[in-house]
Amino acid sequence: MMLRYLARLLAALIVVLPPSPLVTTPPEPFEPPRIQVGGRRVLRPVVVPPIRVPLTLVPSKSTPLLAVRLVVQVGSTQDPPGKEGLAALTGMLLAHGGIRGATHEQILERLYPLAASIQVECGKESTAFLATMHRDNFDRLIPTLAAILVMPRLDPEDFKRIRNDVLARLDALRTENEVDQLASEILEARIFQGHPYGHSVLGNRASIEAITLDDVTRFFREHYNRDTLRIGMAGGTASFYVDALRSQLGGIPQATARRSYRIPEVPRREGLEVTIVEASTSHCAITLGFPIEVHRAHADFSAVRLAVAALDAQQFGSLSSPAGTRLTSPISAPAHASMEVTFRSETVDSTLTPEPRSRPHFALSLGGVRPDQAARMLSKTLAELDRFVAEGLSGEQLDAVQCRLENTTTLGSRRLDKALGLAMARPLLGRADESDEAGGTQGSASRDEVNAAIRRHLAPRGIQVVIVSPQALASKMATDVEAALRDSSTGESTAGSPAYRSGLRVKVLKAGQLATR
Amino acid sequence: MPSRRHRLAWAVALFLCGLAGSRTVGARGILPPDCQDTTLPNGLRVVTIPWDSPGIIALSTVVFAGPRDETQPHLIALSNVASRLVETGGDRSRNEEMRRLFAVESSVTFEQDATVHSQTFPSAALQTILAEQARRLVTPEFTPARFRAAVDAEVSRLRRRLSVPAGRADWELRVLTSPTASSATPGVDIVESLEKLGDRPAEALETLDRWYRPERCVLVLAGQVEHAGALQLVERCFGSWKRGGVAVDTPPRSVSVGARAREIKLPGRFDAVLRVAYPIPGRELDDPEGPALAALAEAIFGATGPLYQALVVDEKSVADLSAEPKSSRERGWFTIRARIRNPSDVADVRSRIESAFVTASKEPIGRVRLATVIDRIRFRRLAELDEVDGVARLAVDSLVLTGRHDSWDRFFAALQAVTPEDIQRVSASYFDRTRQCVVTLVPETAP
Repeated sequence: MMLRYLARLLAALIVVLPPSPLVTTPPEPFEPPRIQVGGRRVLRPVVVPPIRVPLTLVPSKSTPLLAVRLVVQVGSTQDPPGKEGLAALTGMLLAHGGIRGATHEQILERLYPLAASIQVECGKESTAFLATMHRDNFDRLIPTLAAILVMPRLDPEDFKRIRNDVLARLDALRTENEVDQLASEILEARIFQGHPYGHSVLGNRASIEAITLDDVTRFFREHYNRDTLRIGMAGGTASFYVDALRSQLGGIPQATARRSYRIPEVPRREGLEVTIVEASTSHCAITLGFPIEVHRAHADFSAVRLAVAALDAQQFGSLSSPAGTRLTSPISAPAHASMEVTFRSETVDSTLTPEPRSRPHFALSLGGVRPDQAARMLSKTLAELDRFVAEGLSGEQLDAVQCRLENTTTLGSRRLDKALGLAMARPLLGRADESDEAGGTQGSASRDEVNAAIRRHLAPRGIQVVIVSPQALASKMATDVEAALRDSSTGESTAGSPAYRSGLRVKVLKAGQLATR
Repeated sequence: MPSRRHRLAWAVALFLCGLAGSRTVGARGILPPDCQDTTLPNGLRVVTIPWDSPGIIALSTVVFAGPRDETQPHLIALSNVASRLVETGGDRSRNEEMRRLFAVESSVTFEQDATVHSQTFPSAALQTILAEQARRLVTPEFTPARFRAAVDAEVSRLRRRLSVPAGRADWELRVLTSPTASSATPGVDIVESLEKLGDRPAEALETLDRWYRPERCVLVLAGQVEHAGALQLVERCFGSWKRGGVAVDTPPRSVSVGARAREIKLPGRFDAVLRVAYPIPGRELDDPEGPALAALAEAIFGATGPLYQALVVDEKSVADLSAEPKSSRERGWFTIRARIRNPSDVADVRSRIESAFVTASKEPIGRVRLATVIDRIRFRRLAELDEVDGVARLAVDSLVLTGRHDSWDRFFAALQAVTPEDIQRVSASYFDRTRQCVVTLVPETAP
């Protein structure tokens, strides 16, 4: 009798008990799900042996989220001549062009309830596909993420849409708000002229218009394979999902032929070359820079990184003054000029995960400069740089910047996908030390080492300067700049006459003459 | 009289039910179960959320005073000035030094009835940051001169913000929906009001003295933090902070608000900006009304919603469209934001927004679609667990609405229970044109 009661009660409880709450224990071994479209199974599961490619795991005890990053070692440096932007266009078409059996819109619909998206980051030497998801959604998102590399749709209509998007982004670079980025891109083009780094990742209008879907398909087949792929996962139970991810990527082909691609050395130019670029803007953007040999595996990497951080924090503080002001929008009030010193050993866009570069450069940018102040600001900036190279850092300055850099690095990698990106960058270029940040040591170098590195690497024989100027003022600015720099080489500089000052060339580029656009 | 066997059977049954219950209660919540919440003798609450974020801590200082407490017309934006005073501690260089050394990232956000100061920093700096925060709050040195300086700084910041059309529209809406506004209120020159505030430091400082008191504050620490140790540090830094002793007198408000509108024309070329807000009652997180309003906002204005698809995707007349039911403990606002490419379309867009609510009240949403919308809301919120700042933000949002840091689990349970009928009911209840607050911002040259 009692047993019957108990049996009934147990049966009732089994019915009444809610389904298992969110996973509290590591999930069961994962079975790769089928790819579904609109709830209907349209594709057979991919039954292939799991792929074996380099894997990076970043575990985290607390978060229920998972970040997945698939990095393909191909970037804009492998764009064929006349088809600049092909690597980026290929990456974007893969990420946002649908897969076989599901259009882009159907994928968006599928990802909508997951509040997730598939993003792509295109760089000089690599292309990364990434997604962050709640672990409950792993089996709803990963098949799609993998399928964009295994069986992309490569549809003509999607190709047209993506190409138009790229053209629109290139046009947007000409607007008031993007002047600073335009200056940075032209600077890179000047520094790396004649080098695979010398064109924008996005290409230019003519090159993008010249690219066909066949080009993209060929590029994809040539470069997307097991030799070029690396995968990474970060999050609470990342390790439990590794095999599932490997299985999903099993369809990625072996490389047809082993290719070794080495980025060539950067040709050096001497003297001070100023390029004034006309744009429809009310304020100026100034940027200057030069290539340096110190990539992340270089012995002086930490020292140069510290030096650049110190330069940004201390030496140039006085330049961020209200001297140069700009209108930020049609109905705006004045705002102060901005200033940034960067060591481009990684991607330009700070919102993306740094992409290690084998050919870095140094850059210093001033934004929002009033046109009548531009020549003076440039002259003063160069004088400050000369002084910095001559005097170096004091012990106190070095201590402060070391502490700051360490803290900035720690805080900068707190997001799951960012931490994963940094961890994946670590083994590249020969660095695997856990204390490294993105493959470079975090910043321990003595004062003598730092000052020696400053003299060795930040005193170039040639500097490129780019000034983006309002159209009507470009010619006058050329005259002002020439006058100011000739004066400053004997006037403001306290450091004698650095090598790059030996030759000054100033030229004006009309809007239509931009090689990078 | 039940037999022994019966009693035994029921005892087993109750035990099993207990197990089932404890399983539900113990089910993994959004935040870790070892979060702790302690109130110090002076009323200051300390919430700690241990989270795997090596070397990083996020500290949020929640002060239960915000725009809702600006109960006099001349006090508009006082909460902004106050936050600036606290943020800089009256000493900009010291603040800069903290940022330079510890790379501290800080920000201030405003809810209707709370101001939240957020800081993220290396865990090694915890003691220094807490001491600095205590210096700002416990011995604030709110002198008239510093108050004037904070007002001036806020005026420049406000000018910059107002220079952007979206920023200007949001501020106008804040004024229009402020407790002192009425249908008869003419347009307020916010900058002018703020400048005048600088001339009345005594009254403003007296108000701030009532606002910034330990019993009105909560410190939320998330990341690599251990409760007992953190509590000890907080007690050492904030223990001497005295209770206010004077109650903050904020009159209750009713939901009934008349229609208000403000149309602004500005020089320059820009997309027209539209803000439409409807008053909604203050809600607890797990009150079915709140989740139903959240689902309604996503169902109509989310990327797959019919209005979004029509205006943004198909017709492309609207560049951005979104809606948010922002609740507070007393009253909230359901706000719709749109950026309209052609200013002559503003009236049409507004009318289609109103029609969308009418449609939603008459035609029930499909159950599958509702489930999709609910998943979207839930996972979007959970996506904040990507970083330790997001973890603190989740706790703070919950605290501001319910007084508890862990109410999200109840919210998600209530969200899961939302039905198509709930959506119809809230659509019919709150979106009446007679209670609308509307701000439109168009270029001067527009028709």
